[in-house]
Amino acid sequence: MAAGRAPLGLRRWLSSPAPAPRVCVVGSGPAGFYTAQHILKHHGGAQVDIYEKLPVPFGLVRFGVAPDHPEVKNVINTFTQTARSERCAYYGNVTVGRDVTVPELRQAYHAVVLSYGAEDNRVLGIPGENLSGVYSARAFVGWYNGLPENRDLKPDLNCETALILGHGNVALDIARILLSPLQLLRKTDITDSSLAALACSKVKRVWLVGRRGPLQVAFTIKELREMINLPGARAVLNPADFTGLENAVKDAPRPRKRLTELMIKTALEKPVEVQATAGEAAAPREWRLKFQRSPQEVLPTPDGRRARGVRMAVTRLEGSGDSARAIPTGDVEELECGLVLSSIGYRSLPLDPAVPFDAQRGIIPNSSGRVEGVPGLYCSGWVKRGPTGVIITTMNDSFDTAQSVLEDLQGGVLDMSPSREGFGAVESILHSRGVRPVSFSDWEKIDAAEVARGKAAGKPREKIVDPAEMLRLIGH
Amino acid sequence: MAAPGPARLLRAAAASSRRWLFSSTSAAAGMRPGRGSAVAAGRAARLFSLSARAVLSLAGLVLKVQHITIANPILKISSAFDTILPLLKNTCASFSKERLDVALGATVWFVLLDLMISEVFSSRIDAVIQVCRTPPLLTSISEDKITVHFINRDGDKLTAQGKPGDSLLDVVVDNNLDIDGFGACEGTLACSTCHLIFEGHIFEKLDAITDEEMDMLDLAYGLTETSRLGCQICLKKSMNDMTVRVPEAVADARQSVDMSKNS
Repeated sequence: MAAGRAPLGLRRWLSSPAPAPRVCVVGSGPAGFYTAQHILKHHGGAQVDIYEKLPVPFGLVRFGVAPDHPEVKNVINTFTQTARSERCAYYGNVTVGRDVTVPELRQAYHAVVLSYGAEDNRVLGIPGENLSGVYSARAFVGWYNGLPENRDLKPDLNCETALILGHGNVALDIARILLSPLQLLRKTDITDSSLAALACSKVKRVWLVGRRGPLQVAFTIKELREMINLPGARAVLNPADFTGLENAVKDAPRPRKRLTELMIKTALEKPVEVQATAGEAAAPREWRLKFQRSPQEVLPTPDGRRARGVRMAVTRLEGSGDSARAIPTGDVEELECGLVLSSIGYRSLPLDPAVPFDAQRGIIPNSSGRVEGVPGLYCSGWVKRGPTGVIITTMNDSFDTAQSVLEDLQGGVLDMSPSREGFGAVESILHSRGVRPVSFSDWEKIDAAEVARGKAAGKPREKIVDPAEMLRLIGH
Repeated sequence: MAAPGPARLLRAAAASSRRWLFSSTSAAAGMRPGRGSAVAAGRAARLFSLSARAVLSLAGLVLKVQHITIANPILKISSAFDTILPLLKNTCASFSKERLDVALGATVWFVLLDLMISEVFSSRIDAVIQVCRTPPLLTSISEDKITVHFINRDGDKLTAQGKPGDSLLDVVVDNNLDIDGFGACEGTLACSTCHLIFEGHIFEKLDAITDEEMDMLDLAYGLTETSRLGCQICLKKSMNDMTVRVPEAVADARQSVDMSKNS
């Protein structure tokens, strides 16, 4: 709250009693929490309720950020503060669109903000995509991060070569998790079952394949540096991929320039004899960047059931910078591998027939977070602008949506006259449908249990991956 | 909590000063007109001014030691008291100096007392401290505090203090400065939300930037030639009174697919 010059008591005495606006946020990831936080901070009376389909909050901060990036998860502290504040309430285990519909929420609240993110992924759309051994990056990340729906993925790590399609940070995360020395992973909050699977993994070589060139990579320098410095693994970059690029980035903005220079430097360096880390296999692990290859087909094993390789079209670039397009040249190349991970992007899904959805772009059509054609309905995060960017991008975007909500609240655009009961109205609906919401203090019990279980193993937490177990723990 | 101590002190100061004041004026009023009364009144007035200034300075000192910024306005008032009173005395030399002293001392003291009492008692102590903190504070007269001015995104100037060795993130957090979304990763070089823009002469003298900081800084929105991450910059005495600017709309460059468009 902005502190004015007048003493608090005087301010309270002078302000007229206005109806407290009730705002509903759907989704408890960074988008949901930052939107809630901004509204609460800049409106002294608003009450914000955050709904989440899982029992546990925090979305991709918990399920998307890599286990070996714990600092990125520090934002949970500020979200926890928000959830504990008196004008904010958390209701987990409530699936909006099924347990309560968006029209029902709009009846109960003055404003509804949709921040439910992207729960699906883009598909390659090539033959062989459904063979055993082919997984979406989203599912793989969900698996090692304990997302309940991916807990039974059981990826087959029995092959020596893995192929990751995509040149973004998610692709680098997966490569790093596949090649990291086990003793490093053991101290993180990666799930026990994933750790066990990785301990038996035979994967030694990871290819990161992209359709375009080095100047179009979407990953960023911090993550690349991490891969280059990964103990027990060496980077194999082909100098031929980088000819002439030093010149091309001479005048580029510093981020692109430094990133390209780092790749060039790594490509030109004589491969250092990588000492195998103690306890690991004798041959060092390696990872390679491959450019200008577009996947055409996942090739099956003779029995037709499993993936054995990928046939790729060699491409050439038309145009430059980020708008460069990859055009097949007609040549093809085959790469042998037993594990294919498709890391070509997440995708949002429509939530409720009452909410407009642009299937082409995979977002809810909006303007500064105001859903087009539906006053009182807003969106923030990936479902608003597409599934790219990191927590900070989402923070900014959420503040933007929150601003729109605040403007509308103060500008009289929203219908404030009928009394909205907020959760009071929703509670009876949920009860009639046999749904029992999880409160924030319930989550804190689950949190405490996870931390306690992790302590014994020297991990920050041991995630509970079964929602039924979570509910049993809190006595539901 | 430190507040009750100074509050009690102020209340005590108010009570004793009022006693001084009333006893002195009644003594002066009850005196027979003549040389004796003027001398007595003069003595009373001088005692007043002294006691008022002493109490104010003592209160300020106590509060300052307990790190409450309410000290500064008090110190300022106290020093103003020192300069204004002699000035007034000189201009009104034709009047009875002693009587003027009494009147002046009484008026100023009452005004100050009323100010202090209304601030202290009409709202909670921490609200007062908040009120005193949010408008720009005065330059510290203490040796070990470094003052930094932050120009916020909306143009507001926020002034705060830190100790040598505090990072700029520490300063923002410890002083609860109202900068949206600042320091999301809590100083672990995992974001760019503490991005700040420095004055040229300050920027040149900053410790060299590491690769790790530059990697994250590269992703900050609105990058300039004199940008750094606040969590990596620690206060030095030479930074006293410097101004840093909070850049516009924190947005990570990773969002934009085309990094070449950002400059």
